[in-house]
Amino acid sequence: MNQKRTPIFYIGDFIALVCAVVILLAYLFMPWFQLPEMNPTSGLVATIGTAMPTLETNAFVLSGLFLIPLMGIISLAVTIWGMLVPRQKMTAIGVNFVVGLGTLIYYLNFLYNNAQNAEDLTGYMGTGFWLALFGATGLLLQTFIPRSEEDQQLPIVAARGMFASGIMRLVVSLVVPVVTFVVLLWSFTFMRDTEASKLVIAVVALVVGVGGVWVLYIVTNNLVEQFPEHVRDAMRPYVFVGPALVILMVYLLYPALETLRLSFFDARSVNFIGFENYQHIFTDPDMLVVLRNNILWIVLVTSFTVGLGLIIAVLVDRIGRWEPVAKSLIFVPMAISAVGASVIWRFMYDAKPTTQAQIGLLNAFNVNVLNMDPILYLINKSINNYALIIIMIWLLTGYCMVIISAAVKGVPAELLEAGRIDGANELNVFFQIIIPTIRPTLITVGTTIFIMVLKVFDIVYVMTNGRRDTEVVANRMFNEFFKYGNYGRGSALAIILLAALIPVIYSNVRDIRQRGM
Amino acid sequence: MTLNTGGTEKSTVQRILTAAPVRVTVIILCVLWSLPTVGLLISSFRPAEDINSSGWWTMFTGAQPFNFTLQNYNAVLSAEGMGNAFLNSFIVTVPSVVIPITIAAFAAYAFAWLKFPGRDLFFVLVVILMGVPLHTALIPILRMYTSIDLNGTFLGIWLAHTGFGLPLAVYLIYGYMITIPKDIMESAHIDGASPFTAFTQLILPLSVPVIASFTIFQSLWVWNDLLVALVYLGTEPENNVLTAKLTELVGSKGQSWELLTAGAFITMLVPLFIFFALQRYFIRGMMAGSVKG
Repeated sequence: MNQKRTPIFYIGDFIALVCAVVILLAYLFMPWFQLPEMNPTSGLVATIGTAMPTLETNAFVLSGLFLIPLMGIISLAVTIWGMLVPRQKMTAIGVNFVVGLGTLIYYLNFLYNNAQNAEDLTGYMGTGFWLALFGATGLLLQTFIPRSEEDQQLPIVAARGMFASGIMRLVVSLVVPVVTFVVLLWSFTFMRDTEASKLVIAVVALVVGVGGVWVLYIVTNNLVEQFPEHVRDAMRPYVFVGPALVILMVYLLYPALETLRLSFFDARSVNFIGFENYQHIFTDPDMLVVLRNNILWIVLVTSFTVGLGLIIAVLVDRIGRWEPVAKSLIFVPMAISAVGASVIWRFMYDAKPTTQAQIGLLNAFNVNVLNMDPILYLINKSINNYALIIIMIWLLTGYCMVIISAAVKGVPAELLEAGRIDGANELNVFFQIIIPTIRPTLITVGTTIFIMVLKVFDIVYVMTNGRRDTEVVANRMFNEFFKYGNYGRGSALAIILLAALIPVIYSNVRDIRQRGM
Repeated sequence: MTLNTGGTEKSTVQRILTAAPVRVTVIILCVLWSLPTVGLLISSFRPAEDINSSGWWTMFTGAQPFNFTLQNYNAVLSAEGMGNAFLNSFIVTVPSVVIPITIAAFAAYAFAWLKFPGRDLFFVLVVILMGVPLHTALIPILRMYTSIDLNGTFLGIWLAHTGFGLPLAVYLIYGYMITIPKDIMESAHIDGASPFTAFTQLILPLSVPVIASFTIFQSLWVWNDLLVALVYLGTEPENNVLTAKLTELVGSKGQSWELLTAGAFITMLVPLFIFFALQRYFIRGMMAGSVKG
């Protein structure tokens, strides 16, 4: 077929061209020629050179001297080639992407090593730097601009296609992982040490966190693809699960074992003291109050949230079209943080001296309607625990109600009708038909609430921080760590929380096993 | 047939008789449940002297006019640093949601669709770790962070939230991916797609619903979290999030209700917005998180 080669000129190509030129232009502003070994040459460069900051000469800076113009020229050439040979456009785009990435990394690293103060970014070097950054980013972004209806592919696919064969493939599969690793490491130190503005860090974090993680998978997957098929198939799953497993080991498994070990050591984690921390927890009067409170929380919150949730679920089932509104109103607290809820209820519990008007709703009621003295809800030891527990009941009832409501609606209508025909009144229907049918749901919901209440921390921390006998296990653990500096006891308390969850863990594992995993 | 109609009639009468008390009870419950939040919201718009001299309900009884003001928000956002904390909460939350989802999606795919030795064992480990409370991880990780200078940094808390949220994410996404019909995977295989391509082009787009559920659960969890923020960001007050800031405010200005009410409402803005904008997904997300230990 006699195909006429007309240059195809897309907006993306135009951007690539401009960016390549900008990268070349930026080169002129960079202080290469201020390097001690090199005397400023003539023309533009010499004029600029006088105002440039001096740089340490090292291999990195020197390599840029040749690398950057090379990058610019490659990019320029390849873009024009891609326009002339549309068939190769994806390759051109891919090369431009790699050039852009390389330039970006180089200049960011350059900035990181050399910019000591703000002036470095406003002078000539700054101009060069921003130009280069602009050019490099442009090269990266142009890859995302579709050139035609057919090839709306991601740059990474294009780059992969280009390196799909030959020696390039081998080189790339070795070089790219190293580069990726270096970039990730560099961004790690950058994010840790930088004094840059928070938004910059956040943007870097998002780019690295999302992009970096993806690139890591792509790169390792590519590396694995180089191997013969049977090796490849054996290795690939670990590419997928590897990072997750590493994170789980580092952030959950190892710390849990370490905490278990620490719980057998003294306050400073120096001397092994056996079960002394546990013995202390189960005998010390103070600690027994902590345990008692936690049990009180678990029993009251679980029974009230599930009970109230059940009652409300059955009630709202009968109010017709307003049901969703009522459910929403009761569910809303679930969106509120425990800290926010604590402030809400501190305001409810507020008590003023009798001479002043009460601004807390509850005491206003006590004083004005019941003619009582104001009650110090958080101070009075006989009620302060209940005052805190109510907050959590308020938070979680909506959650129980929504789940139970779905279960109640699932009770077969024939079953209810049959019961009613048999002469059962509504109470009988409730206790003898509804409750037995939704029992599994009630148990699930109860377990969920148990898990949440067991670890309650925020409410107690904000309301009383455990003062006046309101301490719970998680809060005491926090105080052992950060207030009393007793790592042994704190760790033992954490292990007690873990131990209380073992039945839940066991049933989770059993469920998974039964489902054939 | 007649018996059936009789029964329906009876229950219709019953329904009318029982409807009124049920409605009244539900209305009372709804009012009771909303009062604390409504009181906070109204108070946050009242001037300090009004809040401290009269209850917020007086505007309904007519005893005290409602002198609407935004001064409290102004004060708490700028002078008390809530504005900065709001930004921090965003900075902490977004990567803490996105990173675990990405890593979990890859892992879940391998667990669901690839065969490899140790798969069952590793998955049981994930399920076990899902039930392990993060409390047991606090100190060892804090010590690790101290030795590599990650204390008080955003990077440190992102990684911590990633670690703590990962088991649930893997478990949920796995549970969803396993339900994707085998035929789809097989046809992709026949078409010559590598597992990687099958994952990015096929499985991931199909898993959007479960990813959405986890996103809502995890973002709410991170946004509302206090403990992790206190432990890993506590050393750097400049970096602290809304919950920690509000807690600090309760400690230092416990009786300045004009600040506390406005501050508390600011912390609730985002979750409430998510709740009302995406109610169905919100509830689904909350349900999804119920297996986390």
